[in-house]
Amino acid sequence: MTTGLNALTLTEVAALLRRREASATEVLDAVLARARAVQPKLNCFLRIDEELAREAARLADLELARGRLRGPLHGVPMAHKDMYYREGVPSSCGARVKGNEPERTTATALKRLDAAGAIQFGVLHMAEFAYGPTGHNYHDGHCRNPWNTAHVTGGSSSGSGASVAARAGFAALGSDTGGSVRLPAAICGITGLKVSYGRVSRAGAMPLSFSMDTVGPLARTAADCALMLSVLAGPDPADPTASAEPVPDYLARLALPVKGLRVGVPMSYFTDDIDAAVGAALTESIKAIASLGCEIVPVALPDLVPVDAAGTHVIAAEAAAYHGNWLRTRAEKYSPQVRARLERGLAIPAARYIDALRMRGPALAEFSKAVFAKVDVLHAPCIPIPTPTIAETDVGGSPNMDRTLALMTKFMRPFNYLGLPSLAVPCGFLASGLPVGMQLVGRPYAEDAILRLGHAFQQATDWHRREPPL
Amino acid sequence: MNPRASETYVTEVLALQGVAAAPEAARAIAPTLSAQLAAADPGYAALAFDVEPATFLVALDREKP
Repeated sequence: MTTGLNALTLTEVAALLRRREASATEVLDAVLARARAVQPKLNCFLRIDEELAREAARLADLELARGRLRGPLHGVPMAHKDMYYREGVPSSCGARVKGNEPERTTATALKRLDAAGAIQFGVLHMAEFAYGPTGHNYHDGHCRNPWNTAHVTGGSSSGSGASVAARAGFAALGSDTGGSVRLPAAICGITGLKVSYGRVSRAGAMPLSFSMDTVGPLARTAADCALMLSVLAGPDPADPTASAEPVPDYLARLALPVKGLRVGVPMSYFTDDIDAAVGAALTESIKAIASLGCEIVPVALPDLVPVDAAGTHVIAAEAAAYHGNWLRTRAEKYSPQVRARLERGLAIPAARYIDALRMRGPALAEFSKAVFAKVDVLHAPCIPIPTPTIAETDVGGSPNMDRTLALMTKFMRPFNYLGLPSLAVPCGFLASGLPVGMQLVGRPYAEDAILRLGHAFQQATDWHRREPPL
Repeated sequence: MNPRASETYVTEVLALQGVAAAPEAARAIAPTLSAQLAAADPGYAALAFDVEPATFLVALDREKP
C-alpha cells in the first residue's frame, strides 16, 4: 500500500495544496519517487521531465506563498498520454513514422490544465496512434497491468490507466475514440470519463477519427473526473466541433441526491458473451445502485450490431485518410498490426463511409427514444470477459485473438458513434485479483448525471480505493 | 461481398491508392472488412433517401436533457 501523498485522490491533494498543508515540491517528490519505482514493472511512462517539473513546482510554491492561486489544480503534478501537443516539444503518439519534430502548437486541453495550475511532469505510454485496445506497443514495449503484469492494461490510453492505478499520478488525460479511456480505466481499476462528442476541445490533440475522438480524464474517483472536466470543458475557437453548450458546476452537482434516479439495465446486446464472474460483479453493482434509492428499469435496446459496425467504418475510414500519405511513403515504420488496421480503412467504399455518417443521427434518435425516454442513466458492462493476458492478445498468441479483441471493444464503440457520455467505474474484482468495470451512460452533455451517480456509488462502495499489489 | 472476392478488391483498391499491401495483409483484412460491411448493411439499407450526416449534430442537441 502506498501511504502519504501518493495515496490521496486528485481532489484531496489539490485541497491540501490550496491549504498549504503540503508544498508542490513535496507532492512532486512523492510522485516522481513512485513513478521511478513502478516504471520498471509497468513501462507506463514514455518520458519524465524532472527538471522542468521541479522548476514549475518551485514557482507554484512561491506563488502560493504570495497568496496567488492559479486555479483548482495549483501545484498538482500530472503526466498525460503522449498525444497532447506542447509547442516546442515532440509528441511521439506511440509511433515512429511521425518523426521527432517539435510540435508547433499546444493542445487546448493542456493550456486549460496549465491555467488551472497543474504541472506536467511527463508523458505516458499509449497504443501506436491510439489505434489499439490492449496496451501493446511494438516500438516502446508493451505497457503492463499493475494488478498482474502478465495482463494487458487496456488501451489506447494504457499509460494513463496504469500510472494512475499505480499511484504514480492523481489523474491523466486519455482520449476515447472507441473505448480508449474506458478500457484502461476499467481494466486498471480506476475511473474514466468518455465525454459527449464536442464537450472538450480536441485542438492540438493527435487526431484518429475527427467524428469520434473525445478528450477525457482517467482518475481514481468520479469526483476527480468532475474536477478535471470542470477545467477542460467548454467552447474553443480552435476547435469548431467544441460545443458551446453551457458548462455546469460538475463538482457542486455531485452533491445532488440520486434517490429516484431511473437507471436502465439493458435486456440485450450488453447481455451477450458475459463471463459468469464478470456478470456476478455487475449484478452486485446494480444492487448497490438500487440501494442508493435509484429505480432499476429493464430496458429494451435497438439493435446495436449495425451501430457498432458503422462506428468501425467511421474510425477506419477517417484514420486511413490521416495516414494515407505515410502509408504510401513509409509504411514500414508502422507496426504490422496498426498498418493492417489502417489499410483496412483505405478499402472502405466512400459511399459506405458516408452511409455510416448518415446513420448516426437516426441511430441516436432511436437509441434515445428507447432508453432515455424511460431512464436517466444506462448501466452497462465495460468488457464482457476477464482481462486477457498480453500473450494471448499478441499476434499469433492465440487462435482466438481476433475474437478477444472484438469482445474488448464491442460494448465501447457504440457510445462513441452515438456521441454519448459514459463513465467507467470499478465495481468489483475477480478471484484472479483483476478488476471489473461498469459503464454509466447518459444523455448528450449529461456528464453531471453520470458523475453524480458514479460519485454516490463510490460513497457506498470501496472498489475504487483498492490498490494494486506492486 | 464475399471474403474471397473482397480479398482481390482489397489488394486492388489499395494499389489504386499507391499502397502496396502485403498479400497476407489483404487476406487478413478482407474477411473482417466483409463481416463489418455485412453487419452495418441493415442499418444503411434502412436509411431514408435524404438523411444527411449533419442530422447527428441536430440529434445531439435535441436529445440533451
